[in-house]
Amino acid sequence: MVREIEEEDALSKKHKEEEEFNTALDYLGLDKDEVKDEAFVNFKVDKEVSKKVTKLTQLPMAFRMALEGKHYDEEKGGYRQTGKAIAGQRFIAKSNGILTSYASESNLLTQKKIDTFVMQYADACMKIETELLRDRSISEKNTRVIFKMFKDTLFNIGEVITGSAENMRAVFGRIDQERQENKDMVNF
Amino acid sequence: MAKDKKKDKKAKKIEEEQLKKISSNKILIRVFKDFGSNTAILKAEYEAEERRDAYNNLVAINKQFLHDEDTDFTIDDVYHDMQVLLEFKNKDKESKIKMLKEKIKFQEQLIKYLDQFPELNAVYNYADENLKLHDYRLLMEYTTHITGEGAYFTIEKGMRVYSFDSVDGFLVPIWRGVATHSQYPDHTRKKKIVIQEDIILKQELQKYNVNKKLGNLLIWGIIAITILFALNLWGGLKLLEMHQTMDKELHGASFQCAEYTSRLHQLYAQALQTNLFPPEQAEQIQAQLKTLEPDKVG
Repeated sequence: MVREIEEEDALSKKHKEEEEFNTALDYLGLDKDEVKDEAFVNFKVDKEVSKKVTKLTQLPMAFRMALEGKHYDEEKGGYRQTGKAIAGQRFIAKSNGILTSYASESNLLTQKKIDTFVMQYADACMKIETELLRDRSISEKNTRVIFKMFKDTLFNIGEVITGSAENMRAVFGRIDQERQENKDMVNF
Repeated sequence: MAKDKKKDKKAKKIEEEQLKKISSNKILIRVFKDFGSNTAILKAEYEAEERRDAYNNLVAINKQFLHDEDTDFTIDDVYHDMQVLLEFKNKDKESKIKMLKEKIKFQEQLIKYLDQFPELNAVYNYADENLKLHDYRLLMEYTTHITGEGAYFTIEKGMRVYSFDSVDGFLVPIWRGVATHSQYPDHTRKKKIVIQEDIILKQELQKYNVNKKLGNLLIWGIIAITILFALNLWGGLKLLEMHQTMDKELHGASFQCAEYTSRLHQLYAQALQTNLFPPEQAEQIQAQLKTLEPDKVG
């Protein structure tokens, strides 16, 4: 008896939610199927990390999905919209553009060296930092998180491109220290 | 009547003199503290000097009160951009407010739905929509309170007076509108970001600055050369001293030698005079002595 009541309650709750969702769609002038299509991105994460090219293409995509509030659904093999976006569309496009330029397969062919990558890395980090300061859509509590996410993604790309994980780790520490020193000097 | 005319003339003269002061770089600053919406208490009043800083921005400085703030205020791009996007140019105030109210209502409802149904976030970006709502609210405040005509300063006794509202240690400039008398917090954030970027860029460039590195090398080179020169000088003086002491010893030996040879000559002369040798042998010895060279002695 209790189970039946619980099931009924659950059904009525679901029905209510569906109704509310439909009213929201009507209010915004959207189509239900369209929204469902948009909310699911068919992009499979390849767990074979030995393939360098697949890893390179996955990294910027994962970063983009995280900013848009989409999370990986292992059952369906794709990203599904489960949260809210933490950055504006303009910032997402810009940051993803920078990352994809580094994650290009051509960088594997040219066999990029660490010394050249370090300079590019610092430059890209600076670009994103200023972009984060300027972008008004990003709230202050998310600024640091996004910056760290970007740094990590680029760091992982650097590991693949240069093929030297240990060296990149050393570089990462050094740049962080330098930037901290610079920040200490600039007191606002 | 005559007295009134004189008074008017005096007043005019004073006004003219005071107006000349407006262009001077000294300004009066008043800091208020807001308690509630209507009561503001004057916290401080002091003079400050207007100067240009390293980035050519106008700043007012008073070292005694630790006042170092911008006086060159600009209205944020938000207002300009939004007014163009919403086609505000040919609309009156009431229709603008009505339109903004509708927009805000829609935006609030949209955000509510986005929060309730995460699937909708695929179509609308939450961060962008939230920012849009914030901008609409700002524009609403702007259109209701500010006509755009006015200034950040008033003139009192020929001096520009800037008023600030003290909010948690920040000095927010107060806008003196013609139609209204409201407060409007300005944005100097953008300028600060530019300054910060400039400093970071300079520091980055300094790392790769070859001229500076060469300059450093030159300085180190000069230091090394001076050290070497000083060492060389000291060594030279030491050598001179040693040479002088050695000379003394050498000269002593030569004097001794000269004395000894003169004594020998005396002895030989005495021996020859006392007929120690037979006369033939003495002649031979004398002849040999004449031909005798100094290094062959002994």
